[in-house]
Amino acid sequence: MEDPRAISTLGRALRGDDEREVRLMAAWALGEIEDSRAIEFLTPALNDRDAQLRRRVVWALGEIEDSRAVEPLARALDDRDVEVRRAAIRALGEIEHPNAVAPLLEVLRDSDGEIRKAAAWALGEIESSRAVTGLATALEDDDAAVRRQAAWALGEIEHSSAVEPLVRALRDGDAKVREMAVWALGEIEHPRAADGLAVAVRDGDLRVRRKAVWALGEINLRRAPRALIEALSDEDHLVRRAAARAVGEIEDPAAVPGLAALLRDENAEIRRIAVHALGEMHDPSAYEVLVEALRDEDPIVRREAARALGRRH
Amino acid sequence: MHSKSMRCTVGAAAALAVVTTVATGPARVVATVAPMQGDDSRAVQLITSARGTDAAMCALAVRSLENRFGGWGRVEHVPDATVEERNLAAWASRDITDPGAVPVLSAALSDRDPCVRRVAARVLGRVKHPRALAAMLDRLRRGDDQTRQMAAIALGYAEKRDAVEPLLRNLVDDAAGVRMASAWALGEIEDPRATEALVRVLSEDPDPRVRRQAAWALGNMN
Repeated sequence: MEDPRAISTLGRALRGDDEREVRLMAAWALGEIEDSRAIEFLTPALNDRDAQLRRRVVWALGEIEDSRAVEPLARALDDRDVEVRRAAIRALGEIEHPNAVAPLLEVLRDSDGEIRKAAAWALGEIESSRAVTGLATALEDDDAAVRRQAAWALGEIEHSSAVEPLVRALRDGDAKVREMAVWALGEIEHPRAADGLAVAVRDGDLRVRRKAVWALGEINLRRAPRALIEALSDEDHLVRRAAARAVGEIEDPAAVPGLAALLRDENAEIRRIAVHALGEMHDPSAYEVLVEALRDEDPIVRREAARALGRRH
Repeated sequence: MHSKSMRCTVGAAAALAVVTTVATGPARVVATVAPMQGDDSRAVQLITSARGTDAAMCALAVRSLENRFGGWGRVEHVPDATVEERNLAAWASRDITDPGAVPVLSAALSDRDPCVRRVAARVLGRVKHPRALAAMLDRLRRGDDQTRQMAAIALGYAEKRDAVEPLLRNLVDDAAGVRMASAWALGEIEDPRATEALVRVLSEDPDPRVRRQAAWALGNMN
C-alpha cells in the first residue's frame, strides 16, 4: 500500500506546482502508483488547460484500472483535443469495464475514422455482448480500417448474434475486412456461418481462402461442405493443408477420396496431416488408403499411418 | 541534424560498451592496442574510450543501451567486433566482483570529461564489492558538488539499501544537482524509508528539477 502522503502530495503538485514539468511528472507518478485514492486528485485535472497534461492524466486513470475511473474517462471522450480522446478510448479499453460500452458506442459514430477504429478496438477488449449491434453497424462504416476493427471486436466478443452481420461482411469489397470477418466467424464457431464460409473458401483472395478453410474446421459441423472438400485440391499448399486439418476435425467420410489424393502431394507435411485426418475417419474406405501410406517415403507419414491403423483395431 | 545525433549516439555507445558496427576512433584504437589484463586496465580502457563523447549523447546512450538491450553489451551481435571489443563489452555488461578497478573508477567520478564521469558512475555502481560501496559513500560525503552528484548516481545504479540513509542526507544538499541525483538514486533503490523525505522534497524544494525528480522517484518506488 502506497503511503497516502505520497499520493496527496503528488496530487497537490499536480494541481498547484508552478512548473509544468513537475505537474506532468506528478501525473505520471500517480499513474505508476496505481492506487485508487489517486482518482480524486486526477479527475479535476481533466479540466486543465494543458492538453498534454490532460493526456497524461487520462493515461494515469487508465493505469489505475478501477471502475471509478470509468465515469471521468467517459467524459474525456468529449475532450476538444483528439489525442486526449484517443488516450481515453485506450484507457477504457484497458480497464475493460462494461460501463464504458455505452459511451464508446457513441464514439463509434465519431466523424474521425481513427477514433471510430480505436473505439471498436476498446469495445472488443471489453467483450460485452451489448456492443454487438453497434459493432455490426460499424461493419458498414465508410472506412475499411474501422470495418476491419469492428469485425475483430465481434470475433473477440464471440456472440452468436454477430454471425449474420459478419456473413454479410464476407461480401465486403476490401479483402482485409473479409479476412477478419472470416476469422471472427471461426472464433464464434456457430454452424449458421457455414454457408457463408463455404463461399469464402472460393474467395479470390488467398488469405481469405486460407482462413475460411480454417474457420470451417473450427465450427462443429457434421458434414464437410463441398467447398471444403474441393479446397483439398486447391493450388495453394497452405489452403490444402488447412483443408486437410479442417476435414479431420469434421470427420466426414466424404472427404476420404480428397484426402487420399493428398497422399500424392509433394509436400510431406500435407501428407502427414492427411494421414492423420484419415485416421480420424471412422470409415472402412480410409483403411486401404492408410495401408498404402505405410509405404510413404517420409518416415513420419509412415509412423502416423501405422498409428492410425493401430487405433482402429 | 537527425543523422548527426544518431552518429553521436552510436559513438557514445561505442565508447561505453563498444557495441557498434561503426566503432571508430578511440574505442577501436584503444581496444586494439591495450592488452587486456586486470580490471583496472579495463576500466582505464573504457574511460579512455568514453572521453570526448558529447555529454548529452553519452547520457542518452547509457540509458538507451540499458533500456533497449537490457544490458550494456550485445557485442555478440556485431559481426566485425574485435576480440578485445568483445572482452571489454563482456566486462562492462556483467557484475564486476574484482575491486581492482575501484580506485580508477572512483577517481574518474571527478574527471573533467562529463561522459567519463557518467560512465564511471555506471560501472562503479556495478562493482559488487564492499570496497566499491565504501568508495561511493566516501565520495558522496567528501567530494565537490559534481563528485557528490556522480557518487549519488553510482549508488543509484548499485541499488544498495545501505546507501539510503546517506542519500537521504544528501536530499538537502546545498547543490541542486546533488539533491536531484539523490532523489533519482532513492527512486532506483525503491526503499520505502525514502518516501517521507521525497514527499517533503516534492512539496518544498525550491528547484523545479529536483521536485520533478522527486515526483518521478515516488512513482518509481512501487
